[in-house]
Amino acid sequence: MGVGLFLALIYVKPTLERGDATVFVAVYFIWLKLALVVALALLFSCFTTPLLAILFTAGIYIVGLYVQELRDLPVAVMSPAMTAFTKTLSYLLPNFENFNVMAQAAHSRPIPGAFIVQNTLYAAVYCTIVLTGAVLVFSRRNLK
Amino acid sequence: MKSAKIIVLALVILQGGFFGIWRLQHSIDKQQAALKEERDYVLLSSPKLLKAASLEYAPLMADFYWTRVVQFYGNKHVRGDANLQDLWPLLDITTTLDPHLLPAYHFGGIFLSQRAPGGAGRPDLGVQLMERGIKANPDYWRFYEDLGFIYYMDLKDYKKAAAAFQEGSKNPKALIWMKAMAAKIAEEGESYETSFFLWNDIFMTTTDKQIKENAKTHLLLLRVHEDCKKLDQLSDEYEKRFGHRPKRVSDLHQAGLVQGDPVDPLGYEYVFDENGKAALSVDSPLLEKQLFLEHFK
Repeated sequence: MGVGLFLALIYVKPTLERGDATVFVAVYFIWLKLALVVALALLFSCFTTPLLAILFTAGIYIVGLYVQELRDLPVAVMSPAMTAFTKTLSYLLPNFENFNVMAQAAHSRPIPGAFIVQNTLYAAVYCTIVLTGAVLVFSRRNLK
Repeated sequence: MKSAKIIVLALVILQGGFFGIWRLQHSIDKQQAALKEERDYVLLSSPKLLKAASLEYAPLMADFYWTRVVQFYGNKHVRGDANLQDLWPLLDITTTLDPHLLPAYHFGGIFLSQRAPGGAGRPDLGVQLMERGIKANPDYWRFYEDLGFIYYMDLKDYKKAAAAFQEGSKNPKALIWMKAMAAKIAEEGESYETSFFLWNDIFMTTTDKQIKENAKTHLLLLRVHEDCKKLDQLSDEYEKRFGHRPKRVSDLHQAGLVQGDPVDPLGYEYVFDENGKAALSVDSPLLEKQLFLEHFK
């Protein structure tokens, strides 16, 4: 996909600029997102049927896209306990919006290196957690 | 035994991992806040391309973009963000997709032209938008009023403002005051009465909540400006009589120069600043609005 995009960019724009590198950062972030989705699918497939695993993964993915909305829920109309719960949940669920740099890529705006490192770490740590969970579940399964 | 070790190790990884995620997410949020300070409301900025892509649904698409204009301005207004650089591309797309969407011209004309923080501070684009609106909707005389308003309020070009009102007054549907306004501006240039009339007309005729609120603020501040001017004149008179300037506005009342203690439109008593000039009280909510607008002058 990245190579195809690179060729398309060269075709449209014969001289590439430094800002165009953001497009490849966006591709890298898509890859990180994909890694996280695959890890979640692996976890769910350890303890449920393939169909439910697909549904759970898709569900978590959709929720993960709207984590910010979970934080923006009207605090004034919720109890303090509910507020604390939604806030905690919003930090524990995988936040797929972290990997969305579409706007920056569209306008060739640079992305700080720290942001790339943090997102890489985030994906790595989250994948580790999910895969540890998968190992834990799988190790307790009776395969006989 | 081995199984217990695995469970303990897994629990440690899970706990440590989620703690790490929590910390990382906070750092990412900070980075994202800086990255998305100026959110991209316009990814496709070519109105012609969008019109072609909308096929026969261009007016429907225009409605979507019009909603985005209102949301964009509302969000910026709520957050106190004065950067409205995406307002023009959004309005450009909206009015290209549907040249007959009258509220978009009216809203855009005001908020593109008005200086920050209330507007984008681009009266040139405001004029461009209004001229486009007039071209597409020649029978709608209110656009001449909006055009004249921009020339009068934002560009201070009274000759062109008078010409716009004059041109609009030729429309048989135009109200009679358009002609009177053309004559008054041509003769006097800027005056309190004209400014008050124009803002008041916007306040009375608009159905848009944001435009109404903006007009109300300007009307109140215009009244404050006029009150302070009058109080300064009375202070000069007081000084002539007593040899010193009044310390409080109540001194003017005691000297019989005013009836009652002068108050601003919200009922807060005016004060005299260290230079002896009349000003809003620090308790008045209008002071914040006044300072905010003056900050961007």
